[in-house]
Amino acid sequence: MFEALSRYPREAYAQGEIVLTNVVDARLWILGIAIVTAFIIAGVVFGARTKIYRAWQKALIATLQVAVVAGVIGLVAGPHLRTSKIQPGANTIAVLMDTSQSMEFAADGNEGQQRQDGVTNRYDAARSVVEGTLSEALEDIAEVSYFTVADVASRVDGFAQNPNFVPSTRLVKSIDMVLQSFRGAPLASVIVLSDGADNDEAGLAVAALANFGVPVHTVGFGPLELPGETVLMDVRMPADAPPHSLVTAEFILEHASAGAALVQVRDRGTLLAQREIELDPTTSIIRSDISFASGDAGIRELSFSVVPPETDQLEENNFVDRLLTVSQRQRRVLYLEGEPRWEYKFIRRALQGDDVVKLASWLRTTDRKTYRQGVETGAQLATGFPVDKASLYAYDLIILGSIAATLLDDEQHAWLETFVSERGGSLLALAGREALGDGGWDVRPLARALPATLQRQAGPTYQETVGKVGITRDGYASSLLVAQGEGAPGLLSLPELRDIQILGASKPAASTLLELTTPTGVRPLLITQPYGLGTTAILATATTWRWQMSTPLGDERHSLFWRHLTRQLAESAPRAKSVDLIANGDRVEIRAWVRDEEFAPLPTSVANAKITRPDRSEVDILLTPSEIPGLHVGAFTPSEQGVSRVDVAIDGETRNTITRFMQFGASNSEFVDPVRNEGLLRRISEVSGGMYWQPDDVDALREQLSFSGAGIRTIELLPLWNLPIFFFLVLMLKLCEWGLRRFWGGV
Amino acid sequence: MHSIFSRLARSPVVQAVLPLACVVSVGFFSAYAPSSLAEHAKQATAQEDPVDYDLSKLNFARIEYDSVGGYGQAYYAFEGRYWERWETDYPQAERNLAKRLAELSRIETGKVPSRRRLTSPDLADFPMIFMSDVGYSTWSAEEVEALQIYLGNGGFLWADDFWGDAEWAAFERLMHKVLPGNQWIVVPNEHPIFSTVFEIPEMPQIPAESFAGYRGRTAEPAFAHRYPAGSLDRATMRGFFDEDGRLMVMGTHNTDVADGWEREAYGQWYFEHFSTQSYRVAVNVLTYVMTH
Repeated sequence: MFEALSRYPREAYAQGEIVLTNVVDARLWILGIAIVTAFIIAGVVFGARTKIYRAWQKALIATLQVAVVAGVIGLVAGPHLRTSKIQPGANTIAVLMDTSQSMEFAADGNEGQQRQDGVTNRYDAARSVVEGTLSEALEDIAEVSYFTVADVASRVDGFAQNPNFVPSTRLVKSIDMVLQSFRGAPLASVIVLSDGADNDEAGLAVAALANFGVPVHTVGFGPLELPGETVLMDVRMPADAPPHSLVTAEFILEHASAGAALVQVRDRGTLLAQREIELDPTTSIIRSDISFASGDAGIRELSFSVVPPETDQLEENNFVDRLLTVSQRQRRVLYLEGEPRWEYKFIRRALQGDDVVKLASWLRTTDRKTYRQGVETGAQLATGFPVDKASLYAYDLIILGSIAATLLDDEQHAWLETFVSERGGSLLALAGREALGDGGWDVRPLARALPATLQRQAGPTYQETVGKVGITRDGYASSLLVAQGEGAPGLLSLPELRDIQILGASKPAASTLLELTTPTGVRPLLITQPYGLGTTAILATATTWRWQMSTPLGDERHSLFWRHLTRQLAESAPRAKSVDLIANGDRVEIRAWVRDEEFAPLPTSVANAKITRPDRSEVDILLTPSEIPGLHVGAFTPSEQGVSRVDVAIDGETRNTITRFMQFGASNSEFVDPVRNEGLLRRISEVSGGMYWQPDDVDALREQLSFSGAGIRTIELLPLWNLPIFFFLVLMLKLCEWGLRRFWGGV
Repeated sequence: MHSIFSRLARSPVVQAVLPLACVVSVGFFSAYAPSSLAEHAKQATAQEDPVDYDLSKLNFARIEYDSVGGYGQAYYAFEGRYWERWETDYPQAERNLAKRLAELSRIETGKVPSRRRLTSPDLADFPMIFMSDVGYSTWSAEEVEALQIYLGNGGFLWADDFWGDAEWAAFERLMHKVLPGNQWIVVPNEHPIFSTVFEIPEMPQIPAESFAGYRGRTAEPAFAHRYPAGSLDRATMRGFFDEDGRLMVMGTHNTDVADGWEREAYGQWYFEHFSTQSYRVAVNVLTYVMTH
């Protein structure tokens, strides 16, 4: 209809501009129109035949007459549509077909079913669009080049019926590759047929596509959602753990169903742990965790899986593989205590013999005498608090007992705060007569780091009471408490505690994990928060020893609580020199922290990585300093499935070599987000000046490409004076004017 | 000499007074001697036994136990009353020790001592328990089991003031019921317990105040202890250790450490010679127990 009235397609008007070719000097035309208008108005107002009209009728008639004249004058002025049009045969249009594994999924979300048109998967649907009308339409206006895109772009002669689907997609990167390849060549447009999946985590920014000035049109395939689908999206866990410890892995489930799902973790087929998760229909993302025993030293090839409800369609997105290195790596803990007390004895007893935690303690036995335990050298803690920052930073966790703040000087207090904020260490404050507020810690720098404000009141905040332990919701979800077996739920049946340190308000980032129900109300018992790079916690009691003394012989809940709490706090503290391996699609990024004993970056240090592949071949990579001081980065691409070993040496010294292992296997990243990513497709087209299309609307793509885009184009002046719509408009105006005059008796 | 006794025996005055004296003596002792230990318990000094105690502090618990034998064995007379063996030096020893600990260390103590039996339901609230004069003690099967649990969970027993071979053997027999297979080990002078706070060259021999200076010796006389006393000359600290090397039970044999606490005010000589040593041992032992 539009073209019938306006002769040219919408795209022509959208891209073009209207010009008046017969107008040499606009001022003459305006003067002429003004004179004619004046004559018309005079004739209507003062004319003899118009005496029968009222004033408003005269005005209306005059307006219509002026409009008719203006329309005729307008046509005489020579209106033309100036637009650019693609020059047939002089340009190329690139058609990109996504051949990643996700294009093998069902076109409409019903796996294994064929549509009435014979299409089974998204690739077939896209191919039918190309081979239907699009290819022929495009070849009328330009030369068409065909590409397949997945992790890279490849030129092809045509799209095969059964291509080799690639297990990963780097869509934006592939489009960029195609645009780069046409630099200097007349590329009119790019058409991308895809479901929008892109698992390039560190990929190119979409905005970079705008730099080429070539519109990218995207056509989306696949359903927007998969009802009933459950996806195990990610699992995060430490890369290493000590032997016979409890490892907690956090996982993310995305679901579009209800009911329950069973999350399991296996080590080469052997079930280590499982946990039932309730799928809340009000939220599509569930974050939770699962804990399991690390076992003996060695490499664990773990497989996390979810057994979903029956409505799940894709099995491939129900598992994630992770590698765990179990090695003897001791964590150093410093316990400072101001008085001999039972809590001190039983904490030491609980941690004795722990092959992960190396506990050194310093105790004031009298006002002038101290007692050291667990020290490795005669000089360690000889003068009490560590003598310098490096000595303090050598610890991963500091436990502060009932010790007055006045025992430390200002510099030592400052170190304690930076120990947490800058070094990333953990600090646990216990209750006591000289602890926290009662010990004067409220006016010290460390008070900023603690998860609760320290109460100031007339009497002591450390009080006798009788209380039962309760676990909060945060406590059940926290990795600081033993989550399974006789762990966190077992705390509820332990003997009562007999004291409490009254705390002030919790800080905004704090989480209360345990609480104590006392005769005067419920009090926070174990509270923690992240601070800077580290973590702080307060355990507002000093009578957990009752959990050891007042339980049946052989009950290990007290030692289990303390070992787990201490290990978890100590494990979260980084080392001065450490290496992380981060998987990114088919590449592995190496991040090495190189710092001195005071955790200051070593800018002149050199870090080299030697990668030993599963086939025993070796590759050396020089890690380069990043923008972040102390961080050196590099990357490599595992060439085959299996476990690769990465040895990072700092300044070429063997003693500074850190070893990590990485597992590379068949990726299931294509299955993680199996629905159409319409957002990305729209963004690509908007940024580049293209449009997003539904498969059924691509017929209009030809006209769009004719009048818009890049490449070699011709400027055309399309006459508008003979448009049917103008003829009808002038005729209608005149008929209206005559009709009104007749109606009012003037004709 | 024989003729003097003969003439006295024939004296009418002696013949009249002697029987009367016997009757009066028997009557006197009958009136005041307890018919059973249970009666004695009623006569014993009222002992404070606080119900509420601050568990963040060190609270003393004296273990009450049964002893074998009668007068001079299970119980004895001293300072105008009868004492059961378990309550030797109690409670003044603990009261004085609490005060001195506050002066000599940073250990916070409850000021009022408690008495408990091994089967007391709240025994676990006292991670350290003290027994004195255990040479005649006897324990029931329930008490043996309770002590096994207590020690296995981390509790500590200090047995003091038992002298000679017979008393040692008796206590050793009892402990072998509690910890079968475990053996007493003489704690060497190099052990950390002798240097936790004060440097103690060797286990001091501290006699009860009433025996101090007896014939110029520090060892108590044999007649005051179970027969056969055997050797009482050398004081030792003996211990039962668990598989991790933790000292669970300590016996201070041939010495009466607690009397040094109880009797510190009984004379300057005793205080300077023995009480000071008693307190050094106490501070070291208690600090060790609260740190291991």
